[in-house]
Amino acid sequence: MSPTFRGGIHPPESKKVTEDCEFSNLSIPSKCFIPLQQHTGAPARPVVNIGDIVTEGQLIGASEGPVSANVHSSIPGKVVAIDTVPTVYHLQRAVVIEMEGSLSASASVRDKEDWRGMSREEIIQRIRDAGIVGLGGAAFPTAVKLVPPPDKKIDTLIINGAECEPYLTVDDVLVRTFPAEIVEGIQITLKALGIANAIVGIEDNKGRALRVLSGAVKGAAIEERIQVRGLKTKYPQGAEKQLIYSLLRRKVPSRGLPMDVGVVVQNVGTIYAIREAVAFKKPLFERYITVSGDLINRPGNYKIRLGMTVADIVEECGGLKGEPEKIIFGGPMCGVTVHTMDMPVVKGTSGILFLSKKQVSVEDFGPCIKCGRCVKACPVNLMPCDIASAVEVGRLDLAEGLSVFDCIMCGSCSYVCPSRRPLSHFVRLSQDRLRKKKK
Amino acid sequence: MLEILFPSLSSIVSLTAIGVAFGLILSISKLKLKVEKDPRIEKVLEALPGANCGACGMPGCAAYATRIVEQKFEINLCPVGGAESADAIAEIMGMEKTGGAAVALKARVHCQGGIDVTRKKFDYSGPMECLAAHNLMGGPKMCEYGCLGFGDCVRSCPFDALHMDARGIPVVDPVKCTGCGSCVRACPRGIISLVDGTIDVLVMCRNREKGPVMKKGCAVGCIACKLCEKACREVFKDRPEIGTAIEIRDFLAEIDYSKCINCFKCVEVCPVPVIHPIERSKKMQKGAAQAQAASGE
Repeated sequence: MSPTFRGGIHPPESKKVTEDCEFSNLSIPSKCFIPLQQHTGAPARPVVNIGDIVTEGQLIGASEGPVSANVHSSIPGKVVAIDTVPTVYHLQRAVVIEMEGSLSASASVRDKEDWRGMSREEIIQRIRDAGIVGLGGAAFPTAVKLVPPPDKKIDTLIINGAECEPYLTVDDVLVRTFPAEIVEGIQITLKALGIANAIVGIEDNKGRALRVLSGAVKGAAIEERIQVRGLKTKYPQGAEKQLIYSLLRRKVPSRGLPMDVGVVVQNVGTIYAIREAVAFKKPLFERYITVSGDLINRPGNYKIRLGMTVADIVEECGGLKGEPEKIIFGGPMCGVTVHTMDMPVVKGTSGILFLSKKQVSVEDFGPCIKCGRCVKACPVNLMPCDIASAVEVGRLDLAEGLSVFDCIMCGSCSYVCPSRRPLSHFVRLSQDRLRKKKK
Repeated sequence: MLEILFPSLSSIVSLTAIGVAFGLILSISKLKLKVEKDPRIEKVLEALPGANCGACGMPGCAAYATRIVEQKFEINLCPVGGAESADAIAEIMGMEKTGGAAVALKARVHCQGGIDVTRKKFDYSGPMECLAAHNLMGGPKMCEYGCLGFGDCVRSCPFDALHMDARGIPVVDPVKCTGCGSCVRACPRGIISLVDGTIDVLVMCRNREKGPVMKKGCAVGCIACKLCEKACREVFKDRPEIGTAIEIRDFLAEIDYSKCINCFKCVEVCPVPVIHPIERSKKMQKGAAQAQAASGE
């Protein structure tokens, strides 16, 4: 029996659509909108001016403050504007670049550098310079995660390959395509952390990825201890705290971070990007994404440049079969529904889904019928029904006692609610209200 | 006989003894642990309106009353009671009667983008509250600055002074409004502010985007044409120390109420019109005259 956690749900996986699609490159867009905030934390400060000629991978936004990340140009060309554009993080300032000149960085193959000779600081500095953030979705700056405060002792690195979100297959295909590179990336990250233990967690519905990666770990003669372990297929198996509990039986304290229990969690996509940044000095300006859903003509796993808009991607993927009811950045459970085709892909975008009316439920919600299904599904033992009812009638004092800040926003409660109540949205509302009250 | 009436004499005796003992403890502790409370606090509390709105900055009327008596707080902080309650408190406290706060502030809504003039960017089906909608991609309206129309302010008003009109914009009843500021704190967009009740001029927009960006979502926003600023500079032409009371900052007209003299010059020239009262703008008057002429024919 594969390890897992309490609660959770089993939505239809819908991964068959793109599971067997090998990675292919989408052609490079002629115009890119590169938001200065593509990460959790403070937005980057623009370091180019309108009219500047930039090359591929050139720094265009410098990280500002302790929790922030660099932003690089994803195409060579001319900066035509620094403007406000809609992004998944509300309206953000973005550098607009129009394609010009030749693709230098991707054409020339750089020599691989020997990272084993580098010091810890050097590795972390390279990761910071490359603007690497968590590519699983939350987009937390990786360099910050790799330098925990001195009083927190880290003993294990967990690699998140669970990919519990329906539709998304990008991590699965990444592990199958580049197993040796992932293992090397893990070794680099372990060196950056100064530890020797790593566990890769992959849900057991991805048997091929599990086998391939286990083989790669065995094949490489390495001194580090890297385990590959299967996890029960269940949503939200890939949520940080649930993953740590499943693999190590350690409970992250309420409102705490993984580092409180001596763990750092990185997504497999981040690990791949770390290797490219450290061994090839390549900044993060492209990433792999899954394009899926029942409305796209050519679903698949693609390598795309950051800042490419949804409209360009649709064109490259053969257009849509009909008017989409919802376009979602990320997975259908945790992702962000977007309202315009002009939305650029950012670092934290792991997939884009085009869903028809059949796949989406748009209904008015009813009252709570006290069935308790949300309580059973909640992976962090909350009572979403009570929190929602308390917020609905304006009783913040009741909600306050129900640990609303422990919510991981997985959306399991909303998914199971037979009354179609937007429970996770209500929990988020209670958090917002409490934060506003404290101010 | 006695045994039938009192089957268990010992329990009666022991319970009585326990009762007497506890009674003694309570009465002694009442004498020993007595808290001296100023009787004036009770009186001041009666003089306050008892709305517990928090406009004074204290958690409620009782807290304000306690602080007036014990910490000698200002007695005119309550905008709800106004001069009346300030005078009553002055009498209780043996102070000079000074009347209420200098200016009677009223809540004003800085948006006129109702559902008839704005465009939506998506359909919203979550909790029907402004804060919930605002935190979801900036709300369902194209304009990320204007009124969302779910009525957080209406629900927050302790005096029933705010109502939603048919277009989904809250309307303040100036008679009922006490200037407590509950709605200002409730609005996640910050489109309600407290303005001197005697001044009528009001910019009905909070959008800080450039004109063309704003125009995509709303037909009645500030386009930052600077006509109002020019008109105002004309008014204060011979008083260079004032300059202008209305100024365009970040593509939005803002009025400095310490300078405004309620002359309506900016209202008249506004081409949108977005400066309240819009009936007095030249554009609206012209439109009204045309309509009248048309109906006359």
